[in-house]
Amino acid sequence: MKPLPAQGSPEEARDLRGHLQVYDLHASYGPIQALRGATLECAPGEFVAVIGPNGAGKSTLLRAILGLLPHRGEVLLDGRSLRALPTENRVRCGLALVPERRQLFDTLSVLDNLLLSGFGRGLSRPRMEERLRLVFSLFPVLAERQRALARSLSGGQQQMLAIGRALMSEPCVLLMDEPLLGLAPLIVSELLGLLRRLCAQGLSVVLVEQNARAALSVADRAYVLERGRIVQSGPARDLQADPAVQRAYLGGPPEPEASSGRES
Amino acid sequence: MTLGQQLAQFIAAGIVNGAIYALLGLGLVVIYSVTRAVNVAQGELAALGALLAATLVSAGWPVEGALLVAPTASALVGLLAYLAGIRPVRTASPLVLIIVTIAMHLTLKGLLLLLWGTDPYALPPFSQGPPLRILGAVVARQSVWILLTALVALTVLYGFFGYTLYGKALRACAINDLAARLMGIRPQTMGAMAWTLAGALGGLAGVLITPLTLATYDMGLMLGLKGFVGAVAAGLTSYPLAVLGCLLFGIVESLVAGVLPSGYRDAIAFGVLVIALLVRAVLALRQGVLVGEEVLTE
Amino acid sequence: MNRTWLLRGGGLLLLLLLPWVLRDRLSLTIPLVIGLHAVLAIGLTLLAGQAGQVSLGQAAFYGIGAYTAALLTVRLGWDPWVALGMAVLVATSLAYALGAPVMVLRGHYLVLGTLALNVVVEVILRNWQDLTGGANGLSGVPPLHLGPLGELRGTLPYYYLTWGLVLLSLRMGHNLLRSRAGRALAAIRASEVAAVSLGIPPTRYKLQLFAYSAACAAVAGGLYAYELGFVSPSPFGFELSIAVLVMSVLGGIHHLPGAVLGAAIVTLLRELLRSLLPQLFRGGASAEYEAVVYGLLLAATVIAAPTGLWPLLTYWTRRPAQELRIQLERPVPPPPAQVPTDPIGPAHGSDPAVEVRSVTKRFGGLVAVDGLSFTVRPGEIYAIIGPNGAGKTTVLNLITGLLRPTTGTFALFGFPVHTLPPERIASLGVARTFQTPRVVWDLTVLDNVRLGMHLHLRTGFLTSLLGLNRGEEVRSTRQAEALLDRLGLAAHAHEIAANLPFGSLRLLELARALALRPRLLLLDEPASGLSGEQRGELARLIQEIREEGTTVVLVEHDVGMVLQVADRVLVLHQGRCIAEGSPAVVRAHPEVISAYLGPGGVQVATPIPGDLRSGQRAQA
Repeated sequence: MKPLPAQGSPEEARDLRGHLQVYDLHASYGPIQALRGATLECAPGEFVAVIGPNGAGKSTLLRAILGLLPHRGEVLLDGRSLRALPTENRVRCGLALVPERRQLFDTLSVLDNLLLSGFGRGLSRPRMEERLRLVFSLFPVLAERQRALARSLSGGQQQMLAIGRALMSEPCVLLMDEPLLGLAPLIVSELLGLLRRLCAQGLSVVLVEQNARAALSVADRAYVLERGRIVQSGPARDLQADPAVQRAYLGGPPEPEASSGRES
Repeated sequence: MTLGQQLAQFIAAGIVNGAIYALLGLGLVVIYSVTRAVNVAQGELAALGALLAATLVSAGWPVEGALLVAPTASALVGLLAYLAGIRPVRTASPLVLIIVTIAMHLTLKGLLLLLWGTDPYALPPFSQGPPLRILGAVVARQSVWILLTALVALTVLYGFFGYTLYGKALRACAINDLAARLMGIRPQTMGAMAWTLAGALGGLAGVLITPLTLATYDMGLMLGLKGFVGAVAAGLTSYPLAVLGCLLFGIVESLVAGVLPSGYRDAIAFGVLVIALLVRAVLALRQGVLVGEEVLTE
Repeated sequence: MNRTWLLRGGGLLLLLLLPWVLRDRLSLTIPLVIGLHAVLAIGLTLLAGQAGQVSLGQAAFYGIGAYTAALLTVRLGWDPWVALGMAVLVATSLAYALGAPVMVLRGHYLVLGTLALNVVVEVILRNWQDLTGGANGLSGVPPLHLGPLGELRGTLPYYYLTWGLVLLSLRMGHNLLRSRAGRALAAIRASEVAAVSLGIPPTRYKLQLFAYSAACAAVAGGLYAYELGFVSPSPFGFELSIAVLVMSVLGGIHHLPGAVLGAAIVTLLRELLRSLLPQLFRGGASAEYEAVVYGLLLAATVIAAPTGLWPLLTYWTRRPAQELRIQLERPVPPPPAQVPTDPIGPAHGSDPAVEVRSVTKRFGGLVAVDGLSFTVRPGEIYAIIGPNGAGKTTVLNLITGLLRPTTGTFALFGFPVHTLPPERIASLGVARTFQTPRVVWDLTVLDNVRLGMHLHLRTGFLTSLLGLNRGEEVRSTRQAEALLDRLGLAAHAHEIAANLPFGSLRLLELARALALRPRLLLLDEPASGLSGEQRGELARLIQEIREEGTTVVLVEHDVGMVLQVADRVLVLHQGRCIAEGSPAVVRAHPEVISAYLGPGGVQVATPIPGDLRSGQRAQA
């Protein structure tokens, strides 16, 4: 369990790391083909949103990138293929997933949840401490409740813990599966602002979100995923203005036909 | 002896046996919760410790040395068993894992037979002297040894699971395997640790019990089964409940054995097991959510 | 096909002629023992392959069978046949008593539970001298008698009886797998959640299978006792239970005839070892060395040939192995026009179809449903919408009994149901579909639909075993075909479900739900993953179903479709109802727009605490 070799000075490293490329990804749950050739990219420090209807394969996309289910296609991180690596080693390469439903260690304390993430990544004690200070500064409420069991937190606090835990592993790409789910509007905007700031500091973020309006409002670029394929992509601003996207995902001009979804 | 004295005697003996079962039960729990395998070969790890300790002591080693070496050897065998048997089929169904541990049980027992033969081996009590009197019960010095050693082992375990990141990582794997992998925690490393730990606990249990009984190559099955009876009470998942269950089982076994002909002692485990299963089943039915886990993974 | 029949015919001929082939050269005892072991192994193969449970108690049930038969005939002078029946009864009752808590707990307790049973049976056989004769055993067991043949003495009649029993248990196992019970077991393996929501009780089926495996062993034990005329504890030890497990695994737990192959190999190996080992290792305990060989054999099989030897053997016959799967049905005549449509469940008056009264459901710290109340009138289409995580699926899981409410009550058609198990709620006429279709992949499309008829079919476990279900099978096939025809899946009826495209899987699940003839149909996001055209079809279908009198509760993301088909809409947000009413009312509701479509135009202005820059350095 040794940390990844350092690449030059921190400043240089920041420019090099966090470039995620996904080519022609196919994956299935049992016989159900959930992903049929998705291709997308996230440059270092870029904020990418993936939107799409329920059942489009958004969660599957993230799970496949993390290697949580068998898949075909290529996943590159900074030019290095992750395809043959199991999940835990992909995490050690710098990917971090904030999974759907948070997946906390319910019966461990908040602090333990955070420390285990650094432990899994193989961080030294001092780096772990430093990272912990960062997470506590981002989410002061976690510092207040660090001795509490994870399951005793409220929904919003649990989501913060899930994100904080992902940040503990010093990721260069942060992948998030519907982190806004069930959060109060005020917390949603706070969270999005935070992600935006992390991006500005060089972290790459891939946000999969049902709440298209919120996601598009903060992302640099966005992809629309429908029935396992990327059907549209471009700068978030352009997609926000696109009438088809507005109709399907932004509750734009209400027409009965909007229901039938767009054909890919 | 009055009835009260007799009762105290039985309870004391039960606690001593229960402490040994607890070590085995904890091994079963750690293996089950981390690698999902019901380890039928747990008792063989104890038998190995027992036979090795008896041999070392009769070769002139000090008891303390045997007390260290035998559990270490069992731990290594546990690790080997994981690497050779469980790791290759790690992702297979629980059914396959059970079949593999049954195969392990048979193979390990055969190896013990090859190395030690069918003769029983004796281990002298760790310290000589007249028995002690505690609360009206006459307690052999070996029993005190057993209780103290078990207590030390449990304290160390408590510290390990409660205060070290390795211990917490093991618990994390049991709580949420997926999340653990997402944290970069390697399931194989954790599996290897779990089996090593269970091996050490088994070996220790074997060494401790030998002065009370005798060490034979085939002592493992019953020992493992008795550890299992206690661990069932904890649903094979909770460490403190497993210890409690094993102690309770030790006491019940001791009390019931007092009124039954000696040949039936091994049958008590079955009776208690059925009762424990029944109680757990009734509780589960009352809680009602029997398919809940599957729903939540949707 | 021809080769298979050749193989079968050849095997049968060999069995019949074996006594003459062997004549004086070799004792007939070994083929007899192989047969007895095969019966034990067939029971275990069914249990392991179909219920996914390992039993280490086959030797115990074998011993119970032998001793019950022996004791009743010797001590009480019972007729041997009656005693044999009693032996089966004793073994199955014991299996029920031990199996019930084990199967309820769903864990993997059976292996150690049966191991303990084996220990206790050995202890009793050896120690209860007055009853069992202890280690000396019990002699003078009378032989069986058979009508004009009189008393059956010697090995030969028992050889034929045993192998007749082997063929019978193969046939019965085969019958079972092709029956209602077999389909139910396949559904339980695929998804217990889907099974219970179709009214299939998993615990009962697994328990019945365990009891059946015990009964197989008990009959074999009885035959053993009558053949030998003497019983002693040693043949029924734990070692035999292990050997039976090796037989099953070696033959392949998903292949019933594999059990016979495994029994033959292991029994012959055992004889070989028994003549070799004492020469190799002096000092007794050769039985223990035998166990080592089993251990290695077991490990080698699991690692090298996890499916067992039978599929390798049948490769020669160039057709899919005789797997323990329901085979493709032969085409049956076109379905009659008359298909029963009367819904299941007790008739109801004007009670509301669903009445939820202040129900709360917590998961740990998360409140999924928060004091929710609503009422669904009979015969309406009621839609539940809301953003992801609003608690919609949880509501369905509560109504179907998969989850218990933390507080609150609800009633279906006037019956309070919040304490009923899911399979009972299904039998009130409640059917559902799932977000991710939970069909049984390895069954045909047709059999998947027949699963939905589970509550309408009457064939039980025993009738299934005996194959007394032909009429019902034909009837249910026709009804299922009619349903598939209606949903446009008739062309796929005999395909394995796994081959269907996603959209058809949804339809198949719907067909299965309709096969239950429900009064209340719960649909969980039926439109997700469907194309626009398929959605249109689905909307039409839902309206049709309602017109037939079924109440429909629809959880859906596609707001457009909901507004198009629903009579009333409930909007959930964070487990609470924020609006309820007609589609028009709900669409205009301002709170709905903001909750469902997300807070508009999020501005990133909230200050972020902490020093990001220092942290960022640590990150690089």
